[in-house]
Amino acid sequence: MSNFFEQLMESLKSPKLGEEEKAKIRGWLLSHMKFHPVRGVGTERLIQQRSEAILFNFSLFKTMPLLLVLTLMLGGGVALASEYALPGDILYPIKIGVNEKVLGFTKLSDETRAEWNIKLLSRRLEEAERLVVTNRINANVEAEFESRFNIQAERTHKGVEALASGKKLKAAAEASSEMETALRVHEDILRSLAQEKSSTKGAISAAADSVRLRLGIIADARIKLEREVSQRQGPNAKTAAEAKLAESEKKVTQVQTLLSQKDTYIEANVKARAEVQLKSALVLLEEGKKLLADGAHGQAFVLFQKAHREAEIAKRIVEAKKNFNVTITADENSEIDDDLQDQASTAMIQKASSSVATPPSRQGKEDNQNKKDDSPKTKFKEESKTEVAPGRATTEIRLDLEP
Amino acid sequence: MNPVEIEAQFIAAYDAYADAIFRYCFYRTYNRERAKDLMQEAFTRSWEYIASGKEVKNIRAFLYRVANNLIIDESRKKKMLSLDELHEQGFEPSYEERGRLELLADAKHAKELLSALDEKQRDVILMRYVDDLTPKEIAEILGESENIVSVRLHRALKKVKTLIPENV
Repeated sequence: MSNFFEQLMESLKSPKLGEEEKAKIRGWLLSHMKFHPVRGVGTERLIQQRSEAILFNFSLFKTMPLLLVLTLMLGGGVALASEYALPGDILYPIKIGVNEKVLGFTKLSDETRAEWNIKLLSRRLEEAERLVVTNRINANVEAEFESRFNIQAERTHKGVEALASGKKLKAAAEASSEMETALRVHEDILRSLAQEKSSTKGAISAAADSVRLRLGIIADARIKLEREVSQRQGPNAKTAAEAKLAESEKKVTQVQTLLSQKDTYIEANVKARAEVQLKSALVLLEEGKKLLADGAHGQAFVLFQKAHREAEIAKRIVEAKKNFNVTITADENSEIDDDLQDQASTAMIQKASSSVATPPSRQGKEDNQNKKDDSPKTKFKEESKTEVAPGRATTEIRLDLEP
Repeated sequence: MNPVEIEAQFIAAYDAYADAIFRYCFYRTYNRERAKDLMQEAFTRSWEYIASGKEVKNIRAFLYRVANNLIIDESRKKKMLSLDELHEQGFEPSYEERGRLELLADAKHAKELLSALDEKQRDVILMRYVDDLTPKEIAEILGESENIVSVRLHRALKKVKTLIPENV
């Protein structure tokens, strides 16, 4: 009997999850764990008892210096608890009106202020994503997000302009590049989340549209700044290019380490996408080095900067999957139909607040003179459908991917 | 243990036991999609318990217990399935195993074996011989004494013995 019995029991072990099913649930679980972190081990939330606290960009390890400053200046409990607050939470006004203002005072140079503004812009976008994932987004919340986001985006853009007009061209180019990457990634995350949340798709898409508009503006600015930088030569330009090379190589190494970690599971398709970006970054680095050797320091800087963007996007692809269980591409080479961009711009201008003073420009096209890009070109064919809801015009964009 | 270590351990538990918990839920619901949902829910609730600061000594047994409680909460459907029905639900023996099953007896025996046992006996047989849990772990999961589990296992095996053809 035992042989038959064992074989039968063995056959009953067949029901199994598929690899993709298992990975999907794992990703969801990781996201859930981030939103419901372990309590009672130094991260007490004193006033705010909601369980949607986020740690993925605010892990204790990363934000320790920030918390130290806040603790010294404000008193630990409230400052700490408010860092996790979202729009609508009791402590949110403390987060933006006190915490962020206090920290803003510590940013003394144009460069550090620009960096801080980009960080604040990312915080606003992360808040929007957390609101989506915790099902707290609706038309009103989205409108509030748009207002805060536009104010911060305008402030950040003005910071870039200040750097440029202060002849800090390299810093302006870097800040615009960083802002562009952040917006590109977050737009992609929001659009991916919109696909999953059918009941609030309109609100999420509207948020993504706002981000797209700003992305177009800063991408234009970045291209113009890089064009100016690319014409530079001489010792200063060489030093700047070499520093950028070092920074970009460090970023690439960081991402390579992330992708090769054995104790971290990364889904195959996510890893593949990230590796495509990384490969593109490596190609750009090699080309940049040739230009550097030839004395084209400005052009080398531009390529190193693009390599940095590609590597950063590779990292964000992995993080987006881990934190939100969405797969993004954030492809810089996607082209947007001009008419569509103009439609989105018109809709925005009609309802925008007075803080949005700058008319939107078209998204610029990349200067491909010195670039040999091996990464697969992904073209988005877009259709737009304008829905008019009471009180505001919205544009819903559907993306069809063409290989 | 710091939060990072706790998280890492929990995800390691998911990697190790997700299939087993899914299977546990499948054999109690006979519905693949429902089993998947219950498995996910079991891990979610287990995490929330751990995240609230409570200690779990045996995560494996804890996961089974949570899954068991979730299944009890569902309205039980006592359904006797043929292998054909199991096949429709996603139970697909491998070609190699199918050969063995065919050699041994065919689907009829599997159906008879499972359906001839009462629910409690079927549970302990599956947990012991499919999920490879020890009688002690089974007792912890079911909230019963180890002695009772052992007796139930013994009786279930005795019944199984009467159902298996003499020539295999």
